[in-house]
Amino acid sequence: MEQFHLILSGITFAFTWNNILAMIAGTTIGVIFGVLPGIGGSAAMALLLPMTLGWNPATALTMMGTIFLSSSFGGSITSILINTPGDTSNAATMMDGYPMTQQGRGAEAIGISSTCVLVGGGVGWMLLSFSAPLIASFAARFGPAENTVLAILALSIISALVMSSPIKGLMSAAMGLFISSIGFDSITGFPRYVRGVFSLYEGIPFMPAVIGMFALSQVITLGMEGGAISTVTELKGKLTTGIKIFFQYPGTIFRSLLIGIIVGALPAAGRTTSSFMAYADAVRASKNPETFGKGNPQGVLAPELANNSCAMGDFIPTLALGIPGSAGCAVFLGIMLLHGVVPGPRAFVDNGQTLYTLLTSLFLSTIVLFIFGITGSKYFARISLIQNEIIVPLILIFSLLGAFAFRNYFIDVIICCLFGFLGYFMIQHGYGTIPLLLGMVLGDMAEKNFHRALIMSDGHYDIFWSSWITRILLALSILSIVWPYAKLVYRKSKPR
Amino acid sequence: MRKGRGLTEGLGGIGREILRYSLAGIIVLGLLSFGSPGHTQKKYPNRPITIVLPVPPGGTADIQTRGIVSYLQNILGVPLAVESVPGASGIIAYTRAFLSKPDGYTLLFFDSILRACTNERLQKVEYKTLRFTPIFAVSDQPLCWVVNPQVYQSLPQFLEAARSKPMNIGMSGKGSTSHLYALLVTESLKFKARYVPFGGGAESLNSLVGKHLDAVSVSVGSSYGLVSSGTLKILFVSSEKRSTVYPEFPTSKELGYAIPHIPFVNGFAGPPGLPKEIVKILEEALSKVMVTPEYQAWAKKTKVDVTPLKGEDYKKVIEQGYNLLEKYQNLLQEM
Repeated sequence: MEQFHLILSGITFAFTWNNILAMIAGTTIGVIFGVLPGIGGSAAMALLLPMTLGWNPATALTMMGTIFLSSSFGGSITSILINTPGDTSNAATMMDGYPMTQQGRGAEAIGISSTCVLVGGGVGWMLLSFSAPLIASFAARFGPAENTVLAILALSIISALVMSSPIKGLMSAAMGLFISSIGFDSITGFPRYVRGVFSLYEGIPFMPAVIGMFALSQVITLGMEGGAISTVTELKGKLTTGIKIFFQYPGTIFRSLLIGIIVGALPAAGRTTSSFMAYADAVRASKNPETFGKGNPQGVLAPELANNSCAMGDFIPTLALGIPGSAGCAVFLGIMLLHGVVPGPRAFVDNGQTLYTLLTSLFLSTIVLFIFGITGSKYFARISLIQNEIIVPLILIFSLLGAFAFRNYFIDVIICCLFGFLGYFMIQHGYGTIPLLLGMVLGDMAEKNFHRALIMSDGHYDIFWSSWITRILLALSILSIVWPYAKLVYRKSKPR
Repeated sequence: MRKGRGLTEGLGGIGREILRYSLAGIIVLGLLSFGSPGHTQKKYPNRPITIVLPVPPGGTADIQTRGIVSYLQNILGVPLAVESVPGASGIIAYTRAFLSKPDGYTLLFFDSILRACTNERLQKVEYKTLRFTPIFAVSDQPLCWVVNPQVYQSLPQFLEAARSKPMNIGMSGKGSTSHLYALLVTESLKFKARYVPFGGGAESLNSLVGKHLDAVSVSVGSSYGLVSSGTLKILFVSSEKRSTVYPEFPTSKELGYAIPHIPFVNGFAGPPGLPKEIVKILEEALSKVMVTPEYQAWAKKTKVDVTPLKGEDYKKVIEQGYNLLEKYQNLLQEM
């Protein structure tokens, strides 16, 4: 009963003018920062933090939470329209979002992405509000051994992505894994392949690499082609086309939501992993995997839906255990502490009103984003009609600025350029870029946890077979490696 | 394609507007910068001070710095810019502060003495921990020994279990403060342990909640949320007296075990050769902040420890940490 009262007063407070204003401001700021590459939600939160120090905790957290949530939407718009991700979690969206824009269907893609915000955010929000402690205690079952196997499972989905040319695909993945080994060995503290360059001690940063791989390589191509991004002059898609397309794929919707929530609830993996996993899963499950990368709407739907539900999922361990699910949530956790809201299992009792205000505002924010995205999609998509000689220098400036702004190190600009040339070469010669990025994201997680698990078991490998979670995940990994090929063999053997 | 051309022409009008305003902005900025050079020979401080923070936003040290800075700039009368320089285990931040001009306009928020010492020993770095100019320490956060109460209810029960098997202890990284504390505890309580490094306190605590570890060595602040709800349990804390922020947790001394105290002091330091007058001004300003009722109320609310320590005493603590690390360096190397 007391809890019910807290929920009600939290919801009531969410609808006060101050709070609604903070919610709308947070959402707007989040989208703007999300659009700028390299400056994601975390940076926006850190920048605005001093301003909110004197505010009511509920209002301050509302603003910060909505910034975090909405930044990924801003990033998805630029991913779709100009092949430049706002944040690493938008990287997978580019694979099909950008080809859609090239075909003049940019508005549709943004429509799909907007619907993902509402549906993914909404479902994530329901789980967060009603079963956060339950999910958090499930997430705690993931120790080092479980996380290792999870990373292996996530890596195994590469199998489905490289069907058309397995050798080139695997080479690309192996290179990604190699790149992830650059920097500190986080267990022994030994620096690898850095040659005394301190800015590389944390490893090759992912954000500049992704910007280079997609945006810069695209800049080279566009610069040589002339014309405009869109190859057709008449833009397709009405206001509601994106929403209609979204609901045509219930299977993909369900699986992407599931991936987003589970990965989000685990502190070891974040939004980038979830969106890549959902993308690869959509490819694997599709009857026509060859249409991906050429503007298949599911290629936008799957990663964006996972990304948005994962953003909500990220909040679950943050609020329920005080363990941040991602870098962005770590900043958010700090802000909570700054306002004296101690997260943990008791948070919903001790600071119930504040947290329920936050949750309500997060949900309102997804509605605002949805309306904004759907009504604006047509106008945003016009960017794809601008002549290349005007848009290309702009993309170039924003990409390099984004690479720099990520950590304020000049070496990141150089890294971005190197990856730009690498990406151009790989795309020209038919090497998939996604396996390389997956290798980079997951290599670190797999290696660290593998090492930790072996320390814990004194070097005995049976730790990876000791719990039912690891067994299920291992079985799924094997299935996921073999499945695409088995399906192929089965189809060929089937008499017509 | 032609249609695209038309659109950009449409943008032209707005573009000119934007260009005009940007140009105006650049000119104004340029004029402003003329006014600033040190014609006004006011004494220190007369321009913004940069504080180099070696941790990413969100952690305990970050919260603490921002809290102090908001009061400190009122007292000093100049803006303070906190520059977050995470990465490379703090090496980049420590080096930047160490090599900066000793004019008092670049200061370091010295978050972890032991981390700085470990880097110095293992990597080729350009700074020397003992040569920083200690200004003022603001807190001495206690570390603690956390267990999962579903597995171990008390210290005797924990020690009993430790007799028959090696314990898996979570800590945050090789050579970190929590690693050294874990070493000291296992040495003093005489049991065998395997030290499992994690990316930070939170990650290791999650593994403890899931019963993958036997205990975690971590700062009290990181574990407080989980401990106050009863999910995890603090067996003892590292401080010599009960902490003022967390008076509910017993010290190891009270339980009858002499575990050496380990400094986990946060404070402000400057580059080598920082003039004494500047140190004094900052020392006084920080002492004032520490006794401000608003700061104390804020620290209480956010569970930030307040243990002020002036420059000379702070120097001793740094030396103590350095020597402690020297003594245990062989054990810390093992992994």
